[in-house]
Amino acid sequence: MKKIMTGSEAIARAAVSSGVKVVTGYPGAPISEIMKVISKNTAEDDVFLEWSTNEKVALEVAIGASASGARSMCIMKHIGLNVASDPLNVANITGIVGGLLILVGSDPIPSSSQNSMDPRHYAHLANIPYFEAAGPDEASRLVRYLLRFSEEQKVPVILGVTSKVTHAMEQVELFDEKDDGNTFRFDRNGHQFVCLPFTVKEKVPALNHKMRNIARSIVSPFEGFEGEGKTTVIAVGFAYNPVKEAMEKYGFSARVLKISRVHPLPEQLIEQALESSDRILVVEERDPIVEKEILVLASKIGSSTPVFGTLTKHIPREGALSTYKIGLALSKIFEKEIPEPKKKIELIPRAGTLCAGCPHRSSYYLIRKALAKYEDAVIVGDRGCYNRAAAPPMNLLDVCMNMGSGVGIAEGISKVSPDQKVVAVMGDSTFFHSGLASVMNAAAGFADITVFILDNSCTAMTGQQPNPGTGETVRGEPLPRVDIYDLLKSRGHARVHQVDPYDVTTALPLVEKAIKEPGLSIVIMRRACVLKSKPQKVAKTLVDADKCVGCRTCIRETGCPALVYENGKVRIDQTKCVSCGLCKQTCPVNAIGEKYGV
Amino acid sequence: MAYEIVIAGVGGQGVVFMSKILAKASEGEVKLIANKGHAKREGSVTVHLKIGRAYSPIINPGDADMVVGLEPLEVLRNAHLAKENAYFLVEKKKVIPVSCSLGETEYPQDVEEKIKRFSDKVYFVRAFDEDYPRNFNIVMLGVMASVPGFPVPADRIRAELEKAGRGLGRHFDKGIEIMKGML
Repeated sequence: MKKIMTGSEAIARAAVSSGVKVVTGYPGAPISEIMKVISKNTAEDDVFLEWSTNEKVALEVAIGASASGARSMCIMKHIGLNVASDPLNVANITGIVGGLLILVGSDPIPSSSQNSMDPRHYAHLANIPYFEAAGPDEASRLVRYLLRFSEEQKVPVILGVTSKVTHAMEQVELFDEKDDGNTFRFDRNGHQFVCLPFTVKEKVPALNHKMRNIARSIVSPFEGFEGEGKTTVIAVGFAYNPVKEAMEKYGFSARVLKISRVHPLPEQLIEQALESSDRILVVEERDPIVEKEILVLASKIGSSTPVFGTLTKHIPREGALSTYKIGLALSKIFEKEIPEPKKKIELIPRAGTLCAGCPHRSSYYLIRKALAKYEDAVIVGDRGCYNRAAAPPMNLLDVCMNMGSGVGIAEGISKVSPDQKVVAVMGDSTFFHSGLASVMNAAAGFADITVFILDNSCTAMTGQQPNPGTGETVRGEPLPRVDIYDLLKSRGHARVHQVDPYDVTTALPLVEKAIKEPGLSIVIMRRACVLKSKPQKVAKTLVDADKCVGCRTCIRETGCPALVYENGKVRIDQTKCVSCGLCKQTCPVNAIGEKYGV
Repeated sequence: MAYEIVIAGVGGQGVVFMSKILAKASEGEVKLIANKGHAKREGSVTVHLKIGRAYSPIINPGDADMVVGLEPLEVLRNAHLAKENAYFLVEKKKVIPVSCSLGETEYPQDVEEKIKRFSDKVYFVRAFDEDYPRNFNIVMLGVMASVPGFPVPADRIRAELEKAGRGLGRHFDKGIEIMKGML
């Protein structure tokens, strides 16, 4: 039976029907939706679900479950794989027991990440199998295949996807059979999971041998030739779709070798392609990883078949692949012109902003007010919704790098530039992810910085997922929450304050004090995300058009999308406004007021 | 050949919801891709939907049979995706970006005129209703379903909407009503 669904749903359903017992991960586009689908389709007793504090912990929990014989899946985005690479590069040599699938979402453009890193390099670093899905249906079949494959080969396996798989929808074949629930137990015999110099010596050659064997003797159902011709196009993962489309649209005829397994490559198929083609075009998104491996193989077998691809500039290395880009590569090879596509019109951008009523807006208003008297103050941001403050109209952030990096970078700046005020801003989820370690470091290192923890009690940017400070599980069951203020009580010499950012009058003097005091000060700005729990609207915030002078101070100070400037006056879009009251406090002529009883 | 539809709007307007209803209501092969990087936060949102046989869900410039927009500027931003004489169904109500309210950028004056240059089949509608601001995407589905040759039958869309269970059928019917006088 087939059903229309997104790639995220397809992956979630396939994992559940393939007997996954533990699913962990850290949210981030494009893989944030999978956990929710699993939680809707399973019960607590069936599958344990956890958005972990970070990707390293997530993978370790999954490894523990796998070591005890349970099939496990660990979800993260490409950047998270850097964080998880520590356990990854040990679990590769220990091997696993229950199937362990690491699902990695990446962002080639990038549209919602700090970089477009190609995570496939980890396949070579850790020397473990890495597959890429061409679409939702294939992703579903791959999840089932790979959980078994991982278990048979006793090695963790990575499945790579992009938003072109997880955010896409198509007809997906459903699985009828479902594995039953066993009870699992950690087997205490042997040294499989003990990595010490005396145990590791044999593990490394064993992994290398296993991978050689996969390369030479296993072809998965997701690889194979299509069509005829002396030109072979090797299409990797999703690239298969635009390759087929470009051939059809522009009228090129070639044999296609579809590849899902990026590492270890199915060598028999590649050798066959090299031996029976006059030329080869390799189409893969981002780095020329498969292309380089093919060149190595060609040199090994003494093939002189020309191989075109990213290294020969037929395929661009940056950005997302398109049918036209592939058409251009084919046009070069076949020496046949193709028509240019219609051009996009240049228009003003419509960038994302903080939501109307977002507590971060009030927090930034407070920080900016308090910093106004310091010349050249540096604001170091972090990863989360609050990095929107780097864009106009706030233009606030001077640094915004990787998860949990802000406090460390702020400490470094403060150590060499003591005349500048240095402020670090991070969210609650970033704090739990890796910020805690840097705050402890700053406390121990006598850093002269002010740390603002914008605590909206969830991982807001990726879809309001729970974190230890939320007080609920993935399934929405209540849990005792970890309170950041309480946690930071054993804070060395740092001072810790907590404020409600909506309450500007009370909060401002505290924020000013925290910035002024020397040494490490921490201010927790605590107010729930408006998307997680919309505040009860007791009043309607309105602009008195007679009083409004059209100065737009409110818009400049807040950047709130509910404030609209029309015909020389500001009006408030009531469909967006949540009456947080911030704009009222910025109006120099008191034109903004509240009407109660709505 | 697939029937190719682009739906464009602003985060929070319900573009992704609309497209999912259409995908579920269509029979047979369908491909969809949501470009929703910063959904809900006032950014541009676009969905590509191909109903029928296709490899990639991504619509190439000049190939779309229909461009639907919940905001005029967002339609213009995607107009190059339309084939010649494609249907353009455009909600007239503008959503002014904060950068325009600040005077840093200017909302283009002649958006409607510029859209008209792309096709003879451009329809500007008023699906937005201050009383039901959250449902005008459903009204727009009714507008789409009224277009001759639209590949998804209206009764199947209505059935999917009812499954979504929020009494959405009447907003859909309003869209059909709007288009009655226009085609």
